[in-house]
Amino acid sequence: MSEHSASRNTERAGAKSAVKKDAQGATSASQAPLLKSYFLNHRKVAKQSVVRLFRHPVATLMNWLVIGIAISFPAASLLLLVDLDDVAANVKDGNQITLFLKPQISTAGGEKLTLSLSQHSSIEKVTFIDKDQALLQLKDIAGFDEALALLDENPLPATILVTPSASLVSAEQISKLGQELGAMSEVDRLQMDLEWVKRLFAIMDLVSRIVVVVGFLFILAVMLVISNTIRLAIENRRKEITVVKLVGGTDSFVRRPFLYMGLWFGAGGALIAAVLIELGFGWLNQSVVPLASSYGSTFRLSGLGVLSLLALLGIGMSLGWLGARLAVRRHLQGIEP
Amino acid sequence: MICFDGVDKHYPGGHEALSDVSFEIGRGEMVFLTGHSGAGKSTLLKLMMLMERPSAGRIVVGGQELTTIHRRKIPYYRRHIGVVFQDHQLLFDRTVFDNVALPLEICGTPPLEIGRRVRAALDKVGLLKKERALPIHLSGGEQQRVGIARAVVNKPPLLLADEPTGNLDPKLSADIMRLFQQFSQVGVTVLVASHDFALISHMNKRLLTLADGRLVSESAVPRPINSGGRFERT
Repeated sequence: MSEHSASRNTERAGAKSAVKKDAQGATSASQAPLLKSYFLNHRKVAKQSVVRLFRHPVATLMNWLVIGIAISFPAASLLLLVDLDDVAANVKDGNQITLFLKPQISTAGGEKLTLSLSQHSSIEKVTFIDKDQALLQLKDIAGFDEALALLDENPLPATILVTPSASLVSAEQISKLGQELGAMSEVDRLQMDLEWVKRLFAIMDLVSRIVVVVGFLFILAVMLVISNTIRLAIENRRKEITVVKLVGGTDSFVRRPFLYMGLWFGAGGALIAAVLIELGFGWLNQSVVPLASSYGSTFRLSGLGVLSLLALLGIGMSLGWLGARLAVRRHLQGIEP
Repeated sequence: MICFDGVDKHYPGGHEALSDVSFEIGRGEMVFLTGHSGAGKSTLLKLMMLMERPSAGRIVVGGQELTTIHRRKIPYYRRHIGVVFQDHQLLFDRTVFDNVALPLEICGTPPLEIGRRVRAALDKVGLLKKERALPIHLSGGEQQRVGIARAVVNKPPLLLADEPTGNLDPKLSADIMRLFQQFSQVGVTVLVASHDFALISHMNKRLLTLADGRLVSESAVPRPINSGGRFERT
């Protein structure tokens, strides 16, 4: 053994103490096997802590469920927000302005106005929809057909759809154009999609803030649950910790099984959360998909992909590790032989 | 190997556990530490294990000045000391083999080497056949021998024993003392705290006697020549 020969050499030299020798050995030839046995120890401890968890299957399952439920809420909210963000991104382009013309304006008058608007520098596209076209469009939508049949005359106004040119980026510029168009004598009323988009984004901003706050609280709860569980495990293994410290176990050696325990708690909780999210989204989709298709959309809640599953697992394990770290820091120092 | 120089230890509350204790123990010596209970035997061992720090004075073990060892370095220091406890401190949730292997695992010894050394240590204490047993199924004497195997598996240059025969009958006690004697013959420094006077006198070794925290007598036994022993693997 290299360790032995190193010791012999120092003995012959008669100068260095063996305690120093260990430090030298670690930096020279014995580093590779030491590193190997370090990883072997990690593997062994990781395995042992799984075995320990399954020794109390009911308690472990309970812990996993608590952690899983707590993680699933912020994770699911985040996924929902991402889906809604995609929807909102489509709406974003719809800064369309709809001009409702006064009833006395004829179809020819409407066409004339449309032509003049198309020359406007701030307008990219203009579409004229006369009264008859509007009625036809409405008839296409299921259910309205019969209702319209009861009416003597066409109640719909002619409309002009205005798409502002792409050079107008700010909401302010667009609303200025709106004011200008609204002031025209032919226009009865105008509706700006932009306002709805603004409201939608404001609501989504509010919702995401709520999700962040509540999610943070849930994550804190997960960490505290794991920390408390690890604290109990430390209490149960007090004697073992004392003995390990007495025979020369370093702090990191003593800590290791508990950190792995936290890691497994987090991983199990994340997997439970993934199952809950998949089940929950599947169930929600049963009503979301028909609702969306009634709006002509193929929108559905996308759920977890491979990447977000891995991210969830990573987050769960980090939380477990942090929780364990918290417990270890507070309670392991106190146990000295 | 061990040098105490004017060591005091008082605990908060004013209890004086040790006062002005000075002695030296050479490499490969076997020494008994005796005195009535509460005389300071355990405190003295705890100071050497760095479970306690002295209130005053110097302690040097294996060339290491203990007062200067940082808290984080304590584990590495302890790896050079084998300890046998009165209540043997075995872990009951693992086999005899795993109990004895613990100090080696801590040091990062490769698995094959662990198997070899653990069996050598168990063979030494005559428990090779019990390696798969759980400590709970062993007798008191066997449990103590497992504790001794764990203490020596690392081949430490210093072996400390705190009342190792406290709960054992005279025949088993004598067996265990013979074991300690064998270790000292191969160069291990052995310090045994005990109040079993019959056994101690039978062994005819150097004797340190404590009374109320003071070293009251030191029997004159010639010290080995190479008394400046430092920690070295044997």
